[in-house]
Amino acid sequence: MKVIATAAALAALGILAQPAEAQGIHAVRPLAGYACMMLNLTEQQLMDASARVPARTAPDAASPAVGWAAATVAVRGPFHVVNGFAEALFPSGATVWIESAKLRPYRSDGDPAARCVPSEMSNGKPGFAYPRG
Amino acid sequence: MSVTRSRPAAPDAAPLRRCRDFRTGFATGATAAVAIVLGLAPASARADAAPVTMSGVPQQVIPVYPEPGAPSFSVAPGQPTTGSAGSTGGSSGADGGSALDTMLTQSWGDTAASNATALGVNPSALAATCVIESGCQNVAGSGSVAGAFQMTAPTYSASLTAALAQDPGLATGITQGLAGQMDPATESIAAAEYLYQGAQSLQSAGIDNPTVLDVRGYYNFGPANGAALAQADASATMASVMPGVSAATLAANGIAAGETVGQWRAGVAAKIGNAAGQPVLVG
Repeated sequence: MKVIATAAALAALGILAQPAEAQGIHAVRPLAGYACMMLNLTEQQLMDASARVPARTAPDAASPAVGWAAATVAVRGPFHVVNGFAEALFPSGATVWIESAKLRPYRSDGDPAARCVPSEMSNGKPGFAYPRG
Repeated sequence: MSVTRSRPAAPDAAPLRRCRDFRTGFATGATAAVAIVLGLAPASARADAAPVTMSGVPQQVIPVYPEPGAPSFSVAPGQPTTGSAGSTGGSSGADGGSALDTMLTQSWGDTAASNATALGVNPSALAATCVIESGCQNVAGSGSVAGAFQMTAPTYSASLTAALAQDPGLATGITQGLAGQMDPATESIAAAEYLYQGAQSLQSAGIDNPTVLDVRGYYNFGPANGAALAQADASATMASVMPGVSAATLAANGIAAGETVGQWRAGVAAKIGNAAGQPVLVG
């Protein structure tokens, strides 16, 4: 009975399962004018929820944070730094600024043959392709 | 734990759809009854003056477009039909409902589901966590890890404090101190809060509506790697998407060399079924 009640509650809350295939976005085409970098954090810092890197609306430490940078970042190429902040592209498509000292060139520790290419994804958002070789 | 309870294969989506159908049918039936009472029904709908006998068995409906998640039927014209439970994916045969079923069969499961809902977390997401971590069994772990949700002591304490600050009413009846880790109903509060924080972190990284699978990446590999995983092409290798993680650490987390994001997702989904694709946040 409680299973049915909970299922009914979930339905009332509008929780609908998304098919696993919805997770399967893929890269469609490269994004011109951007290059890959990665966060300049240690492996331990990457696992630490308190060691996040803010993405800001302007190249200024006092400007509002749009959110947190992911492990891989699409930066403007050629590298465009203003006031110690690099211009980058947020997954929403917004231009953001990330402290340049918190970035380094992309190189996978676990897969040195991997490359990273900023790309438009099949959901229309910016993302990355990771070809090898 | 294997649950063989008989229920629809897609418990979260199907009841809502059926509820809408029921309401529509009820309204239509009531309208027709009023029309008949008023004598407004079309002639073709009125009762025949004489009994009519059928010629042969009724024509059977043969499904052409199967409804996702609905039982599948094999129809042989003129023969009795039987249904079989539908499969919703996941090599274990699990679905979002069975993860939830597994948790709800525990004495504390109903309380845990209520705690999740109170904190704005999908109970199926909480259930998926305990299924993966312990099979929803209240067990000890290594170091300070303990309980059905296998949280470390510091994470448990911090998350419980945050949850109780958000909803002080949840403090009623909890087990105080670190002993609460081994009280699943109490630990569920901290685990739900941790899921909530993970989903919020992913939202802050540009993930619109984080799923259980997305938050699992956060849970296992941290916020920056979790955000990268949630946006990744399934064909990319785990090592390429999380470039700051060494091969040794990946191996220690059960990630084989060359394993793709898609393979990792499938592995998680095999344990929790279509709960993997459900949103973590509700309300």
